[in-house]
Amino acid sequence: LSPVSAYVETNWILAMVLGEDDDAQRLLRQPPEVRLAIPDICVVEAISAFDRKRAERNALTGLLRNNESLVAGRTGIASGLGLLEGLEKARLANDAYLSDLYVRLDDTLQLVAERCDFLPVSGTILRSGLDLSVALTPAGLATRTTGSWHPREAFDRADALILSAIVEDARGPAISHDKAFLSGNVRDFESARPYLESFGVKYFRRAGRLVEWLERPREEKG
Amino acid sequence: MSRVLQADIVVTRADGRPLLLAEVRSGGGGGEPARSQVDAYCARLLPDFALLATSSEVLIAPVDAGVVAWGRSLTLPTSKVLEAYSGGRDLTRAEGFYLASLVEAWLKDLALGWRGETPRGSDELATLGLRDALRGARVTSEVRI
Repeated sequence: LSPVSAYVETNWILAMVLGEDDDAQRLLRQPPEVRLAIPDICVVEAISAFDRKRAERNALTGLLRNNESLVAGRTGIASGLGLLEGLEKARLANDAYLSDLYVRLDDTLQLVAERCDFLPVSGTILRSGLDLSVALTPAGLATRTTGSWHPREAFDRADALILSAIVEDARGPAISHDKAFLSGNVRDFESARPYLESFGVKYFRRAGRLVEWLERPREEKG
Repeated sequence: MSRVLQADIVVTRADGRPLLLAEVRSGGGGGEPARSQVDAYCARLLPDFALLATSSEVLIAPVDAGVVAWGRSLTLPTSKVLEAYSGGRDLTRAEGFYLASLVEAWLKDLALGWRGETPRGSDELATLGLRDALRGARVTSEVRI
């Protein structure tokens, strides 16, 4: 196998933790010639995403507790006791699910730590990320770091940093590699496809398709 | 101005008097810092009992005029006591909020009998005089004291 850099981002981690894509884990089992690289801010984004999930689940827990307190004084009625039991079991299931997600997150981050290269944010990356995230005129963009490509609309700041970190690596350490970027976040990243392709980075929406591509001989990668 | 403290769980009697203060720590976090925190909370709230739960054990101690009598504490194995609520899952890596949720369910079971079966640890709690005191009590989570 010729060297390949496969770039991944936050959604890859989330897909593994949430069990949404069986193929996401297959990337971890690729041979050493496949270099998995992830911007380090994606790890922070993934952890933050679960903190948001915690807030969602806490809202449900609060709702269930409020209802429990309403029926707690009516346990002399058989149906009242049954309702309390149902509410308690729902609250426990909700908290168990969230606790399990955190365990899965820790396990996944451990695997990511063992297998991935981390792309750090630098001043250069921050500046080029700002170019992507601030609404600049096409002319302004053309004279700055993004070449002739300009986005239809400004990128979210974090997404712009992710793109910039990948491009910085693609035109630096990974310049001689075949390169691919996986993101199921089509809404935010697919519009950057031409930008990535101008640095030789092929865009994939699905981990399964990326794995198929990685397993092809170099002359068939296209 | 005194600092705002928040207890994981407070159980109050029907007349509103604090019966038990519970703190929960995930992993092996039940050491001296956790006990000191329970001491400080009890000194303010003046409950009759203090409870400190970790993923391995549940300590319940009487409180005399705001002072926790750790020397007279009762120790129960967490996994056994909470088994009916956790479905027997391994609690070693359980997050603190989930462990607190399980303790809350157990205390509510002791107070209201929502499962319709005798909760684990009832006999042991009876030796402290806590089992009967818990009947009909109100269990509240994340309480400012």
